[in-house]
Amino acid sequence: MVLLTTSDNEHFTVDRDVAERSILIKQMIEDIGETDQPIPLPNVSSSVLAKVLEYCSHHRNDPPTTGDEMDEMRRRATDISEWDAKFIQVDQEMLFEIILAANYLDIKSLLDIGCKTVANMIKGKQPEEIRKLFNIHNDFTPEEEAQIRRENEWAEDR
Amino acid sequence: MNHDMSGMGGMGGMGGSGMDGDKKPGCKMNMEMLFNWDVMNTCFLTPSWHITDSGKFGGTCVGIFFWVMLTEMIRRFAREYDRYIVASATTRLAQQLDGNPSIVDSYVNQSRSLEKDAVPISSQSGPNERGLLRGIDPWPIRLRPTLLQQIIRSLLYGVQFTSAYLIMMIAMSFNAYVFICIMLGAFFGYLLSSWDTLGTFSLNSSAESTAPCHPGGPSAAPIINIRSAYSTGAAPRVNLEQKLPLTQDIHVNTPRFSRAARIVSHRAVKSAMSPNEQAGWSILPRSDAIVTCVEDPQFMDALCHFDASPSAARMGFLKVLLRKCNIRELSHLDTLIVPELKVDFLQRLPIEVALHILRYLDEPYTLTRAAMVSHGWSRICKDESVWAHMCVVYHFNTQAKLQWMLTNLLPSADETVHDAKAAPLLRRRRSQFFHGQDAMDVDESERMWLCARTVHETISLHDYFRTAFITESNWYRGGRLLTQYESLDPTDLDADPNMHLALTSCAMDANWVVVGSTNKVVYVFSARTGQLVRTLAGHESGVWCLMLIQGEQLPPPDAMGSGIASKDGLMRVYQDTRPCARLALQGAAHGGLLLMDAAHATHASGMDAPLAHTRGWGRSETLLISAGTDRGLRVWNVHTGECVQILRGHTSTIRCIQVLPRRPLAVSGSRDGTLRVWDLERGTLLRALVGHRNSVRCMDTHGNRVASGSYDFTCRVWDVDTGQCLHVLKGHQMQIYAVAFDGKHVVTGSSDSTVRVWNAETGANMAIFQGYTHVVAQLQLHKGFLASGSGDGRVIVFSLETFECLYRLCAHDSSVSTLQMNDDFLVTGGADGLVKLWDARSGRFLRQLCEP
Repeated sequence: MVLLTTSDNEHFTVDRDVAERSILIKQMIEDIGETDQPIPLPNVSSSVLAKVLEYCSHHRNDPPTTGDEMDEMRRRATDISEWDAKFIQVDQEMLFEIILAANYLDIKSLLDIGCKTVANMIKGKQPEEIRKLFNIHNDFTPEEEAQIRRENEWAEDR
Repeated sequence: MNHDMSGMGGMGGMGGSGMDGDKKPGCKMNMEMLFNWDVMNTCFLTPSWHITDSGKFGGTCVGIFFWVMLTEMIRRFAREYDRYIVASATTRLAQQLDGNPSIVDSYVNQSRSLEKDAVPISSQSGPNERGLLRGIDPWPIRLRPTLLQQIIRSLLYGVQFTSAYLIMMIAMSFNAYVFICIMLGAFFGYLLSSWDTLGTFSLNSSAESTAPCHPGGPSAAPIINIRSAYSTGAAPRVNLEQKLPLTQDIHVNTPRFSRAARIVSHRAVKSAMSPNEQAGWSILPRSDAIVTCVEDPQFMDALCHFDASPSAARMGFLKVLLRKCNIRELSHLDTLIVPELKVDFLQRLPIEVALHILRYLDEPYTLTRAAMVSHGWSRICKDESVWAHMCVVYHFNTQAKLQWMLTNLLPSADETVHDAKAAPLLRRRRSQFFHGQDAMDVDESERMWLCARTVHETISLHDYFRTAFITESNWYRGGRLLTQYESLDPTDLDADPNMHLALTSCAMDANWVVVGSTNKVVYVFSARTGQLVRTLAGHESGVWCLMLIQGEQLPPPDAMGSGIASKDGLMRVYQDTRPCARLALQGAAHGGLLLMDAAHATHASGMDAPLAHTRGWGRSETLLISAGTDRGLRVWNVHTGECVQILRGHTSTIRCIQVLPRRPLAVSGSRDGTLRVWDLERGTLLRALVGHRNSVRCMDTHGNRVASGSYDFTCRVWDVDTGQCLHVLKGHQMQIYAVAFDGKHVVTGSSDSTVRVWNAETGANMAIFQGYTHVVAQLQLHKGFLASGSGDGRVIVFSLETFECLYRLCAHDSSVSTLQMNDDFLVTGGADGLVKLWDARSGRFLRQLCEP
């Protein structure tokens, strides 16, 4: 069992194989050896860690993927398994936090799922729709906008 | 306030009683903190102001009444004085304006720079803040009183302030009569002295509101104001006063708005306002709902308390608050909340994660649309690593395309030979790049990126991808007919009606399309415009084969044409509509077609033969070598049209010519059964390669080896430099019509309907491909793939690594007269007059390029 402490000082006790889905935690355990001391995760809040641990315990038995396969996976279409798709159906702030946490904890598959989800949100949308989707302020002047539209016309027709 | 008053009352009482004891024993002063109707024995402010009789009291009341009125009048006077300052300044400004309008501009600029420091109204403020900022005139003119004026104003203010305070202290005697007098005095004082104006409003409000608010045209608004003020005469007072923070209103406003700003800025922690922006709040108009709501001090307190509470308490409070809201408020809340919950992922995530997201966007249009979202997104979407990845996904990381990038994307100034200094530099850079090629497969995208950087600072992979993508798109559906020649110079036709005009051969490079014909001439077209440049006359009979030898003068990297020639004397040239396009089709022998993507083929090695052009040995001009039934080879200068050399020696029709790349060596094959090697520089015959027992039909070269196919059913491999016959490849049952040679493999196609693959080193027969029903007259080797076309209209593509058939195409109704393949595309031309484009990887039919 591994004891984890979040940024808001909550404690989580999880099985070692679940926690070791995170390369960061795995390496920490390897460095300091088995210990009763809690592992501090100052960049992760309890609500996010709960979500991340849910993912880790569902995927605790996944075989470790080799680098090549990963690359191939990444290159191919953005397919997400059914459970993962349901898991990642959260609001944008939570999705953001999960991606940050996955990046910090070094959980590659979760990071990939998060990034794929964001990519899927962007796909097939017009700039205005993207702005609306992420509440982005259009900081182009009309002239700049016309120019950048001209610059990017080439990709539109195929 | 209450506390202050009681404290002061107490002090007054103590002080009073203390002094009573000293000066006026027995004087009892009434200092109760309750309203009273006492007349006698009351004290105001000082012990000397002691009421002892009713006359004194009456005087006190009247005095207080006029005192309050006087205070109001001083206030009025201060206002009038401010107006006077404004009016005189306006008149002065107007006078100056009369003489010199540029003063206004300088005034405006000055005030604008002041304004910029104080209130940055920038586009950086988020949508929430924008609503509040709207409505501020962007650059009002600031008027500053002189020192003397300011002292007077301060004095007036001081008098008002002191007087008002004293009145308040008198009121604290809680004497009802005195209080009534103060009220009456205030009433009449205000009645008389404030009967001047009820607020101010602008006559040119429409002009102000339509004045542009973006920084592009900010100067318009103040100028309009000044000018109109000047012309209307009376208006300036009204107009400028509204903008100047001179009246006491500002003192009321400032604390209120800074308080509001504190709340709002606290709320907007996420948007991380700068102190400047917060300062900007203090002069904001009162129109916004947020501001009006927190004007109420009780709401203020609640908000402060909310800020300080722990999160659980806040959650609970919000829950209760939500229940209190009605449906309209809730839906309003909804519209406010939805944008707040959104996250700008690309900007807020660490850059490497943002780029990781973009790596999942495989369509270039998704990336370009994302680049149009905002400046920040545009920056991220232009990142080189994103486009390096895209190049890998779209197979744009092939060697041929990278080489092409270097010749086409580099600035054209480097490309011209006029710039003698740049040329060697360019060559060195290019060679650096090519050296790096071998390690490409380690991490291709990373490597490409680095290569592009080291070769030339200005190459961005984004630009490279864009050009390559447009080129590919043009193959799919771009291009237009540029020129078409219905009949090539019919007057040249022989009087002999049996002598049918046919285009026998064709060669093309980036600048030229040359077509050989049975009517003794060679036509030279510009590959860029499609125009017929000249006709090379000199051969005594039909021309059967030709080859271009490129000069050092590289083509300027602009749009390029493409030519199609066919048997019926029709010459078509296509050019792409878009400048980056490189779509070229080449007219070819026997009514068929050769095709090249000029972009890829220009420098790609191993593709010289089908395009019938090769790199020259250092001459600056492009040469053409042609031969035919008159048995003599002619060398032409394509630029001038002059015949440079005539090489004689063959005793029968010359059927094929090859020129070795970068060497002045030409090899010709003839019906007399020999191949002859010529020195083009000296114009001499070096040696004859004798061995074939029948006419030599076809040949291909690689390095200093030549593979020749003959009607004696054999193929021979020769060493050009020694004249030695290395191998005799025997096995075909009938005449050999086509040969392809890539250094490792010799591939021969024969009229026995088979294709044989031979080991070029040992001469062993490695494979026999069957599946045709007719002669195999078209062969091309491309990177381990063999494309073969047969007289039955079939095209079959094999892999030479596995010796497997990749796909078969029923390409044409009659014989396949030509074919050409590169990494992406396969183009076939048939005797049925059609040209078809196929996907080289899958064999999928893409489009028909031309019709008969």
